[in-house]
Amino acid sequence: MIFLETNNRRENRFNRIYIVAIIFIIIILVLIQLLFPHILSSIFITIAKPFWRIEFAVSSGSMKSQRQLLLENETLKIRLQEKDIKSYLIQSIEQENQSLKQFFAKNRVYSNSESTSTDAMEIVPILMNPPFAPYDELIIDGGKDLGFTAEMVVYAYKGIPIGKIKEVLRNTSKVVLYSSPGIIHDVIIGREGIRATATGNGGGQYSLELPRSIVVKEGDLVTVPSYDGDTIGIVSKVINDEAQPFETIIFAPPVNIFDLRWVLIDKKDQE
Amino acid sequence: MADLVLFTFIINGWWFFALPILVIGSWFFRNYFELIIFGIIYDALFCMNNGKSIWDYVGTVSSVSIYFIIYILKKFSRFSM
Repeated sequence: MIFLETNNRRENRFNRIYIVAIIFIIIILVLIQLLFPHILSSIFITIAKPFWRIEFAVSSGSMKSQRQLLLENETLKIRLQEKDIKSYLIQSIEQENQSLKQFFAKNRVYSNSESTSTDAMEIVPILMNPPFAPYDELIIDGGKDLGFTAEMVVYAYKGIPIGKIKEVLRNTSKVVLYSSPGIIHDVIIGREGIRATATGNGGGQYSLELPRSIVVKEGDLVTVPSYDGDTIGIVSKVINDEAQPFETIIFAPPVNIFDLRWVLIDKKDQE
Repeated sequence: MADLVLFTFIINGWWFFALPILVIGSWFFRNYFELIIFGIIYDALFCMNNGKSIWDYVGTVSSVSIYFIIYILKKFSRFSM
């Protein structure tokens, strides 16, 4: 439908009142946010939380049939047994690795991360990890009720830190990922222990630049000395331009953070 | 109904689905405040740093800007409803 625009004074007056009202409401909301920072966040998260929980339950398979669940349970038991066998092998390799490290006295470079024992950690479900949200964050189902505080380190798995708690509400917390754009880390790359400064690119990706003379390969581990030598990533790409004196190294955590359903919170470990 | 769908999009962080619908809505309806309300809800759910940085108001600032851009465009256009 096409209408000709009318120049009605009364209509213009109403429009002006609407605009002033909108600006007034926005100013009030901004003031509320500045003076009582958690109020709006708490209200809307309380409203959204039941929906997130339902979504989490559905995606975790609670709507599956009994037969499917039994089948899945059996498959998982078999897989668990396979993993148990592998873990024995890994334990023996870890022991061997430990004794070699002691032998070569390189404990400072290759820490064994004893502070990140799974026993001391809280396992918490992730309520939200919006993949395209401008804020590189996770919202987890645990807050002050579980004793979380800001700056607690969040792990994807044992020894793989992915972020830290930024904001703690009553029963939810917001986690800022280490890969958030602009966050800088002092890292050690590869077996030779090359020190460099990496920057978060967002979406679980990090990048850093090194002189081309230093050889870094895809698959090299990237550790952070300040996080007890835990691995924060694996080199996924080395961009080597012949015309440039530096090569760009792209690395990402060994797990896809956007596929994660659970995280571990180390209550003892705070930055 | 449309608001419920939009609310679902916003609480899931799917702003890229919600935004086109909100833009179309604000063009066809006269005072479509849902655009601004959903911007505020988005920031309240996902913003960090307790609102101390301008980046905590991306949703609010964007929605208010879009609202006024469409408002001005509608004023100068003969084809608005």
